[in-house]
Amino acid sequence: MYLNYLANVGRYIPELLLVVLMVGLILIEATYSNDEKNKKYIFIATCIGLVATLAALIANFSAKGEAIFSNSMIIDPFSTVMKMIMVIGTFGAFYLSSFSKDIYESLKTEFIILAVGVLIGGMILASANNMLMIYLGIETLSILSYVMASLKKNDERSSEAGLKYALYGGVSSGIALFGLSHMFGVLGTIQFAGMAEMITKLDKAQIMILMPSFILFFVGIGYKIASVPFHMWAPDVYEGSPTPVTTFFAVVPKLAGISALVRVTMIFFTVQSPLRVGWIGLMMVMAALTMTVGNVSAINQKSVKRMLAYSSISHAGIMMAGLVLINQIGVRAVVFYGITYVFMTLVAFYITSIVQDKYGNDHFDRFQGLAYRYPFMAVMMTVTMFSLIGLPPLAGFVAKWNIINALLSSRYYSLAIILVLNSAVSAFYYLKIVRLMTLKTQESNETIEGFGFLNQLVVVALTAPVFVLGIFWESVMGLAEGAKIFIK
Amino acid sequence: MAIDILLTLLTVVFSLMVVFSKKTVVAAFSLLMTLLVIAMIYFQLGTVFLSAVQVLVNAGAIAILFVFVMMLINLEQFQNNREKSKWKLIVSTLTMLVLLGVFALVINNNIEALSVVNLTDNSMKTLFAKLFDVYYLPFEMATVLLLASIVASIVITSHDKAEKLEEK
Repeated sequence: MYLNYLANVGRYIPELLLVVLMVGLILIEATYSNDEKNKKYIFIATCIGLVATLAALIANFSAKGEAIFSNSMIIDPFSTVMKMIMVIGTFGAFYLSSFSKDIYESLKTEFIILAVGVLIGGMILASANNMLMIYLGIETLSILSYVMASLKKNDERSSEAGLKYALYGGVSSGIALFGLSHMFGVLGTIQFAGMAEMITKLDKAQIMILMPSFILFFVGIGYKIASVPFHMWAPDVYEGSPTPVTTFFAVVPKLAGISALVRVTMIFFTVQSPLRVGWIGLMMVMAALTMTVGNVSAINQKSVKRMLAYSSISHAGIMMAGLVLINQIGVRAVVFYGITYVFMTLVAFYITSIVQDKYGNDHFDRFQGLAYRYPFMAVMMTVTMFSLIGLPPLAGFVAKWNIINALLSSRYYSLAIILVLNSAVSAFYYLKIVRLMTLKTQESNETIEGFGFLNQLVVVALTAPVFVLGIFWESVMGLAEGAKIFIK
Repeated sequence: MAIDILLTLLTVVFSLMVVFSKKTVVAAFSLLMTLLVIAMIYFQLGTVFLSAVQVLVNAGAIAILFVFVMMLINLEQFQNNREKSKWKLIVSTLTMLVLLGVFALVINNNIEALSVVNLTDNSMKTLFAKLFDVYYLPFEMATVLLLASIVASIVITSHDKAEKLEEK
């Protein structure tokens, strides 16, 4: 048994590296009192830790899927790809935090420690193979997020965001736990594969008992990805939190939730049963609602961060639309969408954060005439916005087209039409920023310190994938294609 | 059987009191009683360890924490007054109906799965053998969560860090 565990550790290196990184950061923060030196060490340690994790994940990718630790976790290409995306998102948020003024100088280390903790939770969620791990993942993801949202302690909105997040989060994970315990009561096991096997043996009445429990379970995940009936927290939390934290929230918990949802969908609902029909119906309604409500609410926002929050809600809806298919094509489309979504989100938030640092708020007006002062950055923002709308030849187009194509191939015409209409609606508010940047005269000639050479370089480097994935998408599509789900 | 029904009824009554009592202290006390009665139900089922943990952690620590917080803050302004709305009524009725339907289905269909789980074999030895064997990873990951939570609680509570940035 013990040897078994040692053998399993080999596949679990990325998570262990992150745990070591987290503990190491705590130790460094506690040991060095000298502020400047401390900051440098923390920066270097985090870089090394995250890059090492990414390398370990890449090394893990080509290996076959495997169930480890008494079948409680699954390490398969799908979970590895999702983890890679999450690590990249964390790295982006971390670099943003290193120069952002939105996070207090004295709390920057704590931000990274908590972010790494949330990342571990996201990784647990991405490869969880039983209900206990799913719940543990949700809790690790949530509890630390509450604190991250209220990191700006002297700011009222940030504290409000943290409290709101905690209240909503506590209630929804309680509801999810109720659903999970109900499933355990009916099926008698917490292992996903065992549960799926039991489901095929149930008769109709017993399946009717399970249906509400799956809905309750969906509440917990739906809250993490801000799907529509449970999205009320998202705009307030996104607006109130410091911008690096918002960047982090828009990527890691969302993708972790999506990957857990993908795994659950692929395990439980591949067999024909009333449950499958119910789940597809639920997903269709939720996806359509999430897309529409997110887009429509985004139109009238004054704050760019809030607009991006609503837009991230609608993007979660699009990814959920890929889940309706319950086959490998849908998974591939969702994974590809996740990869593109990360880069688009990072660029949008980077530029918003830098502008916000300069002016103290993030209203749309602050972007006026940005094209005259920082043409390069304005171009990058424009490209990202076009990509978020889904215009060719950018990455967002390929990602959306993939999902629409998959939907059409399985004859979900109504959902595909809703998706296309939503893209048209989203153009309205994404283009608003572009219009302000290019067509309005500038407010002032001040230089924005945040747009130093290095930061501009980073933004360009983050935008590059948006270009490249739009044109040379085959290789990444191959990566997403290889992201097979392993069930045991 | 009589004791089962009595305990169940008590749980329902006390949990209703948590929600509907006007006074906050009564609500907190009812919460404490609910948790204790649930511990009794666990005991009745033969899960002694779970019952003990329920008393120690939920009733002993959490409910007392509630009462403690109430003593610290001014009670008068936190009277239990909530607005009534039509939507709340509709949603709660709907939820209740669904849960009752599920309950009826459970009774009608004789769900046997739980008989697989051996409730009475819960000596500390078996329990911890499982914890350090099958459920080793969740156990370890919970420690990671706790470690990060310690940092989080320091972030929230430390005045030192907040003061520093006031100066800046």
